[in-house]
Amino acid sequence: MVRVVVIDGHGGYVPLYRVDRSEVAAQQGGRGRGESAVPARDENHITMACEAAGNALTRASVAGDDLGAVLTASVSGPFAEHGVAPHAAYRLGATGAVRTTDLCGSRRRRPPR
Amino acid sequence: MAEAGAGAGAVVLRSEADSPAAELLGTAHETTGFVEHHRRHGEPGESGDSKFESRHGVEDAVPAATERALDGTEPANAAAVAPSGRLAGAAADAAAALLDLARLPETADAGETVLLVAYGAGGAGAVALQTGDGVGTAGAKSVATYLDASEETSYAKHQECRESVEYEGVKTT
Repeated sequence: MVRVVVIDGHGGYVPLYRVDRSEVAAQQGGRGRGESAVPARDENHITMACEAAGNALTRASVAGDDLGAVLTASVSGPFAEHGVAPHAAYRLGATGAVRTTDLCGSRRRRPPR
Repeated sequence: MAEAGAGAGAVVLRSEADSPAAELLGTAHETTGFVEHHRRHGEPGESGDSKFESRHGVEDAVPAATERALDGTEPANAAAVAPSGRLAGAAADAAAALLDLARLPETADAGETVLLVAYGAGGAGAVALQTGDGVGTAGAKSVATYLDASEETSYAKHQECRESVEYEGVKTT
């Protein structure tokens, strides 16, 4: 079989704090069971992406400045004009000849080709 | 396992590696154009009848994308992602696809076929992977570790501390 692509490192991140979904439902309407992880005051899409990326890069033994491209995907984002990928790339040290792409707006994520 | 609300997942993709966590077996898409869960600018998200969507959305999109991605192989491990946890089924929680993609190699054994399928607006995408010797949780914090290290906070405190982010007219909560 011809190898097209491999996953050389994988990493996740979930923030520390949890809120009870029934409490959210009481405020916002609807029903809620269980709990959801929520970001701390100093966390956002970019910091959480970088935490996960840092874990993946560590497992791959790859430095940020060795990356050729940074792609991000999120159903929401802090910017009306998207730019999560270049912000994350800068934080990871991946600047210069680095391609960046934001995939936003749908839960139907496109898997890597 | 607790469901993650906020969170992130990441993978490092390369053309080859000495000891990869996984190798790509196949990807596939199935576009139906059936968009049940949707959100207009300035409005909260809306979902229609879940039984109707199961019949005309999920059932048309997910099996087709899955079968083409797997190309006859049987998955030992699978994660499914959808706008609602009920649609995602028993195979997975409703965490985001990339977090599930990052978590699969942490929980699978080497040599397994694993599947990730994401259903959403207008269809589904699936990716089939063959896990390698790089699986496991060594070298970095695992998703399970993050989930176990939790601290309860009130919704009011969360809202008070959080910068309100407005995305296309809707303040995220």
